[in-house]
Amino acid sequence: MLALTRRRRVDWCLGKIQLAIASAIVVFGASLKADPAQFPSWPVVQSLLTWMQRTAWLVVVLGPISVAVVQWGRRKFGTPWAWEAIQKLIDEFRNDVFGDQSDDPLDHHRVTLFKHHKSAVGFRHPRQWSNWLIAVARSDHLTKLRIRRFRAPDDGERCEGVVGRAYRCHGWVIIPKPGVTLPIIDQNSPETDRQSYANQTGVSVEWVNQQVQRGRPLAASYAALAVLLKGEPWGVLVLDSRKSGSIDVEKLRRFSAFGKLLTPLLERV
Amino acid sequence: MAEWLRLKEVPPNPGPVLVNGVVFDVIVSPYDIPEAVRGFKTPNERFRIEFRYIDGNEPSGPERSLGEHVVAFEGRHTGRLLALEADVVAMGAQTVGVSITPVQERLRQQLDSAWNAVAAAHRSSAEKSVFENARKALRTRETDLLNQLAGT
Repeated sequence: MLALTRRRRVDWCLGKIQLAIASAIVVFGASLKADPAQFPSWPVVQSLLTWMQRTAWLVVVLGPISVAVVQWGRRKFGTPWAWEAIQKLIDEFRNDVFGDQSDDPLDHHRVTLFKHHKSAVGFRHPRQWSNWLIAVARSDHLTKLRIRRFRAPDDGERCEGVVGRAYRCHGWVIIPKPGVTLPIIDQNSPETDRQSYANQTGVSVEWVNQQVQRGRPLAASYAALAVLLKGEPWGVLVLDSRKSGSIDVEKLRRFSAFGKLLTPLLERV
Repeated sequence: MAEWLRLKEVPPNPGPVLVNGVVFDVIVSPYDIPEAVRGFKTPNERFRIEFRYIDGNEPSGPERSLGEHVVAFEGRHTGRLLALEADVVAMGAQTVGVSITPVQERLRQQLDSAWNAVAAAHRSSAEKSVFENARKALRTRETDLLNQLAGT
């Protein structure tokens, strides 16, 4: 996940590159009108002008193409203000849903937005270089690094995790189901509990074991919703909490107000 | 073009749904409930009711004819109801006592017939649940919608 400060820095750099290219097009274009013979006592200026006139055609042709490519790059990263607004929205929604758990650390109750990427070269086996759900924003300021990516391929049976399950469904997916609790997994948890957790959350037992080994606590309740943009699936919004039964279904309905604001922002990222 | 009428929030139909003998707890997606509605008369004298959802304008898929006088337009990706077009003149001709009932009441009856035609087209319980929520949301501004239609 790209941090907001890095997004701002990347956008600033790309903006300056665009400005430099646009300036070069103007200066090289204008140099065609200049006559190097007018500067007999300035040999450096003469040779510079001659060089600029020789290469002006290249700058004029490649310059606009470069500006367009950089602009594409800026759009690919998304405008920083839109990401900032998304971050604020997610923070607000987290406060709305988990506001009554304010005594707990912020990272115990989180909201994460995953985006569906049709191509994500470099993940796992080359055969699995497509269709990934990758975290693009997470509430508050903690646990933003090394967020797991989940597969969401065309074959729905292979969708991974709670995120993948929500991507396959319409409406909120709540885990565990009412009246059931997810087992609390730690170093001493038996294999059956680990298997039960993996089955209910759509992940592999190996991954559960890996998390335990790394000392990363697993959530006790989840709620996830497929996010749409103009009717097409865009990604998934996931709420996770370390406390069992801390996600109030009634509060999830408040997402419609946030969803209205989220849509125009998603169009810009 | 008529103004959008913002629909009030309604609690979605709760409770489990039985699908192929398995019970699912369905919590309706906020993306399936329309947030606004508007009605107007088209140049070919048909009443058109349009719905707006929170995820922006979805392109319309192929239109579906529901009975003689009602056409439904569904979303290309989601199959959500985007618009409903009713040939009110033809529908009204079949109604007895047209001249003595107020315009809004006639429109209400015809709108109900159109909704029933749409409801009959939904087969799965999940689809029915989504449709019922949409209808419930529409009822929050039905009078305003009928006034809007009558005024066009």
